[in-house]
Amino acid sequence: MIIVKDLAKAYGEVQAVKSVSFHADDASITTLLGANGSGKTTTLRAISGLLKTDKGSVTVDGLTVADNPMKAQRRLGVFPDSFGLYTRLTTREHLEYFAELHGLTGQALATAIDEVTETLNMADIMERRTEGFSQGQRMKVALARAILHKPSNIVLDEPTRGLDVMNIRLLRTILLDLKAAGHCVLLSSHVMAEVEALSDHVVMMADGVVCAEGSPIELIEKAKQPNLEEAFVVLTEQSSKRERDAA
Amino acid sequence: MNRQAFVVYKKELKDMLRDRRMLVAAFSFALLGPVFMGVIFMLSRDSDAEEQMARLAIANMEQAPGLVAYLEKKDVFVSPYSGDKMPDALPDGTDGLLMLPDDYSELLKSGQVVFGKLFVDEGSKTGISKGRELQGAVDSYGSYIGGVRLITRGVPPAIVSPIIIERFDLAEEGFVAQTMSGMFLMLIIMAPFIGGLSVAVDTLAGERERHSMQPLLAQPVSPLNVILGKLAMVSTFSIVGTLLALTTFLFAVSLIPAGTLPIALHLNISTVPLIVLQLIPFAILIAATQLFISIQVKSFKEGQSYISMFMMLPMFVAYLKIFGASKLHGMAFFLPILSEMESLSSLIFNGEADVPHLLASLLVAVVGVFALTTFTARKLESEVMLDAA
Repeated sequence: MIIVKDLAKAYGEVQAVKSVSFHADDASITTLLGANGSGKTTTLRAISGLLKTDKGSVTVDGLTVADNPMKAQRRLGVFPDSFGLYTRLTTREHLEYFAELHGLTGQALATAIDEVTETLNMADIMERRTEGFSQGQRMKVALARAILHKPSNIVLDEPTRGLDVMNIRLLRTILLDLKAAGHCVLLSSHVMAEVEALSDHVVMMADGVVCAEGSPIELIEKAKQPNLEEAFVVLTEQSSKRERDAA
Repeated sequence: MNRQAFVVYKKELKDMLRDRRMLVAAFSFALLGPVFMGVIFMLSRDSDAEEQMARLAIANMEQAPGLVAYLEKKDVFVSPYSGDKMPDALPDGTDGLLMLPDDYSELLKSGQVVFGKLFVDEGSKTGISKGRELQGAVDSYGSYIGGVRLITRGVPPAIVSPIIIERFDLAEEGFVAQTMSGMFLMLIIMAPFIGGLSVAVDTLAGERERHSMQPLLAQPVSPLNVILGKLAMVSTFSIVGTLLALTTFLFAVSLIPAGTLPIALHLNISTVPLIVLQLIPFAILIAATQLFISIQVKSFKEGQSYISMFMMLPMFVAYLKIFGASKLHGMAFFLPILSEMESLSSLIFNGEADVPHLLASLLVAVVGVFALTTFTARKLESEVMLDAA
């Protein structure tokens, strides 16, 4: 479970996140929905222990990330906004490297790799170097890297970016399976169809603040709109107006 | 090294060893360096030979056997000259041309004054030096003949030579020897700079550029362990490159016949381990410095530019030692690289340890590696690492 309280982060003069609070439960898919520059990536980076926040706190399974970044990272599986693979290493070598960084060795390591290979149906690319991989194959390696140590919380930053329909469907299935297995899945996206199809809980963000949250149906009803896209437009505009008025 | 740092090291080494360009960049110096050094030494050897033997062509040489014998005793190589006109240039392969008159032997026998002409080429520093040397040798022969004439007339030659000055060279070694030993040390010192260059850039700036830094930092591994693993990898390249270069350089020098170079290696069972002991910490220091530079930049290309500039440092210091050693304060030789060169010079060319400089270089390496690694690890914690170029 991930709890974010009153998070704020500025890069110099730019206030990327002003005040963000939400929680992402276990056995649930929570989505940060927002336009580009709304603060989604900064929030996810803070959760992943990659940023020092100016204000607020993040806890992962009760561990405060700022105080125990490495303990919290052991409970997280991170799928960053870019795959960042080592082109001279094979898929298996990638997985071995990241499993070893999580302290897995010997039989435990071999079993973890076998399981994730089966889960993601990627036996055909295990012994190949990642140079020249398709986007779908890269996604599989990056996702396998994030989940092979069986973290209770999985954080994905725009995971469907650049993927074709078949790979999006595959990813969706995997995320639903992870949810069914009791994991806390937190992702960011600005693709409405994806958010609507996957999410149990949506956190709408605009200009570094949370403008609304709830299930997709609750948000549509709250905005009195026919679909999530229209609801997003109305709710973010209302939020922006409130921010302007307050300023 | 702890387990996590070792995991990083293992992966980094495997990754880099698969890049052929990295291997060529890291180890080509060990193979091409001796060739480069051989060319320099051959050139230096030629100029050394020239310094030892000035060459003089003599017109009407057959009339002057005494002069020829005298000059040869003075280490002047003489050869006959057949022309009788004033030359436009010196004959090939000579440093001077002495034109003796056609009646040289008659004039000499009859005790008269011989008017000869010495042509030299003072268009270069070597030409000036050789010209003066030849002038001195010929003048010296004239004084010798004058002395003989005075003796035959019962006059002591000391009357016309009231002051006799003998010249002594107090320089510890000749300029050529100093240059050659300096060049040799420079090549050894440059080896760790070249060995770790590409891999140091790739492992940090390259990792950032490829966006693989973020997934790595999201793992439960401390920045210090990441840097220690990467430092171990760069140091491996640096140390192997340096020891390989040292081996090939020493082998190349051993192929040159003894006595033909103005420098001589004095390696023995006790100095070789000390040379290795000194070079390993130095290679790690250079690796740590290259990583420190690499973490300041966002891309491989940018990193290459800065680390290539860093490569100029050993060359600058080596030239400072060769050409400006006498003008430097003694404490300057305890600075990094200079202390390294001083100590290595003593171990390689004198066969003995220069303990103060050896200790200074080891101390600098230990403190430098600690400080640079700490700074680099701290920088890795910075959120700017998440953004690529």
